Amino acid sequence: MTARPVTLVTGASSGIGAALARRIAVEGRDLVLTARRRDRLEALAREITDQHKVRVEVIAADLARPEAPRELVAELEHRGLEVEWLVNNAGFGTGGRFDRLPLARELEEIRVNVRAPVELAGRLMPAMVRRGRGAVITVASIAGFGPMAYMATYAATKAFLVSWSEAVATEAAGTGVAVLCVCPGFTRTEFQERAGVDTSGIPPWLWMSAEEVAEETVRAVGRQTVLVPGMLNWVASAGMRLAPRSMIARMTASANQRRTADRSS
Amino acid sequence: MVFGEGGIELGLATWDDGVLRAEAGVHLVRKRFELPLGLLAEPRAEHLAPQRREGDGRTRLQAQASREAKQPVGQGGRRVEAAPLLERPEADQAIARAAEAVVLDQGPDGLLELARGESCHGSARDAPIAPDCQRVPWRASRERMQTDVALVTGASSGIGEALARRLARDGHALALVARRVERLEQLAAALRADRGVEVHVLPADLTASGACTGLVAELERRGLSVSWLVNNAGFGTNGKFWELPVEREIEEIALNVEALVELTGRCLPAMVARGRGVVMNVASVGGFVPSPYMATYTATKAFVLTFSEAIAAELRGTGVEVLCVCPGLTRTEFQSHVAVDTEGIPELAWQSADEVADEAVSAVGRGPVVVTGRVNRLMVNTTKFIPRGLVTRVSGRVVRPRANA
Repeated sequence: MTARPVTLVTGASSGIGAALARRIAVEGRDLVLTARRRDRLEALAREITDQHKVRVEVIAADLARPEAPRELVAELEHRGLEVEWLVNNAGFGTGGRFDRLPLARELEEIRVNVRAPVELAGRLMPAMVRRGRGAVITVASIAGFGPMAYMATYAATKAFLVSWSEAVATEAAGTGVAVLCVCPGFTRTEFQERAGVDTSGIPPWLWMSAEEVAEETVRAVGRQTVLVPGMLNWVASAGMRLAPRSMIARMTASANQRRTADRSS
Repeated sequence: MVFGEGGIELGLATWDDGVLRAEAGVHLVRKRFELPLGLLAEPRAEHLAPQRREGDGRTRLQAQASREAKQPVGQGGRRVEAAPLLERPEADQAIARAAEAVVLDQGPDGLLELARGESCHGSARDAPIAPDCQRVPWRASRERMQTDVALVTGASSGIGEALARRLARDGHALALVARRVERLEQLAAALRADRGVEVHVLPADLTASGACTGLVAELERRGLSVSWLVNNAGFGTNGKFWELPVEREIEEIALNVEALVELTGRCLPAMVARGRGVVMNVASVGGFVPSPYMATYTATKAFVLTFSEAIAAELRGTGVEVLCVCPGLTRTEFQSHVAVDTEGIPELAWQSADEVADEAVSAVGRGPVVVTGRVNRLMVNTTKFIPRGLVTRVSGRVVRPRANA
């Protein structure tokens, strides 16, 4: 039995992950969807198989558990699936002053946002390089371009992903494996609600839909290393890279202090 | 009745149902003034029971007014537990003053004999004791009062060791953490002998799960409170990412990122409550510039840099200083561990660990980030204006592993 090539999407049950799964199915790629919520994954899998001629499998996993990435890869092997595209999308953010946030949750955030993508890539990339084709697509954030006060751990995990992707992309040049880091700005998903950030003051024209982000992402695979979807976000990211980092920290401190005030005090 | 709450500055105390509580953390000239504070607030308190409360990271002293019938002065002794003492003679005198008595002697079992009475005057030992003078045994707890320490992780070599030496020279008591206990013991012995500071050796492998919790519990058990947290422990791996053992990459994240965040998270609340403290995180110039063949290492340092800058901005005005130290090429054991070919790198670009430590300690309070060394500063400031892709490729040439060169 030869292994069947699939695209593995983590955090696929909602938001950018679900949009990426739908958009990648359009390319005719078979999918493996993973997230914690099995019922939502199964509903999405049914929806995708109804609309596109692709096979979609579901593996429920909580990537906050340290063993989860290893078990996920073992399960893929067990099912005879060969990951050609890895989409590291799972992640979450916490908002508030770091010393007042529950530490256990901050450490979970590092496990999901940093440890799991690195471990999945570490376990899946060798086979991609051997085959001479594949992609490691990691969803970071525009927050990864500078320090964000009151989202200290979140922005740091995203800065990790940007730096890591840039380095690995350079190492992988010429291997046939594409490395892409996607840095979306404000995207309409459940994310902001879960991070406890009040977004009512953010003007509507700054927002993108998850579908727009997914569209730009799929088009950028193999073409660039760091993708900032949306012209405004791109300009903002360039500004963040050039601005003094301490200025970004101070600006986010005054802006986010109000937004997260009710949660952190 | 509440006299004050929150900030834990001098003289904050609460009184409810006959219990006087003085919150810990009143520090002046690196000494604690817990005990006098409690006594001044309630000079007739006959019981001083130290009570350590865990959970909120603070130690409180509980002084309870005696509910027993008060015996008039001159009628027999009373056993009173004093707060844990840092310096015995000074604390003994404080108890004696508060009890309007003089110190007679200190018994072999730690009991303090006080004399009270009209005819008791002068210094204790040489003054004759009048017959109507009563001996009042006070038991001073042998438990050590909380000592402020600078906690240095990865202290057994390199920049960590240099930072420990520098902090000892500044008179800080130290708690040294690393895996190699013999090297820590050697360093501790040298620092105790040369600098006369208190040095605690706490061997721990911070990549192990639960190691930080264990370390914090041990500090608590030894009565040490962290006034400087120096998150220095870290290591780097070198090679093409997909060729490196994934377990080692995960350990690298566990040490460079997770242990740093966890220790910071466990030490910060107490520092904020006391209104002072220093968190020094050792990153690298690699935090600014991604390096191929050290992808995970430079990414962990980008994390540390971003995280430190963000919490520094959050903690402005709390009295807690956060400093991220970004050294460049430093002569330590690091290079031999990561197997980078460093032969072609000009002398000018290198710093010694001592130079890094001196720059780091002098930079505390002067902003959230210090890039040590002129060459490194020039590089960090320049790379900002060069396309990242180019910078990344160039830095990949510098750290290309020997095997692949």
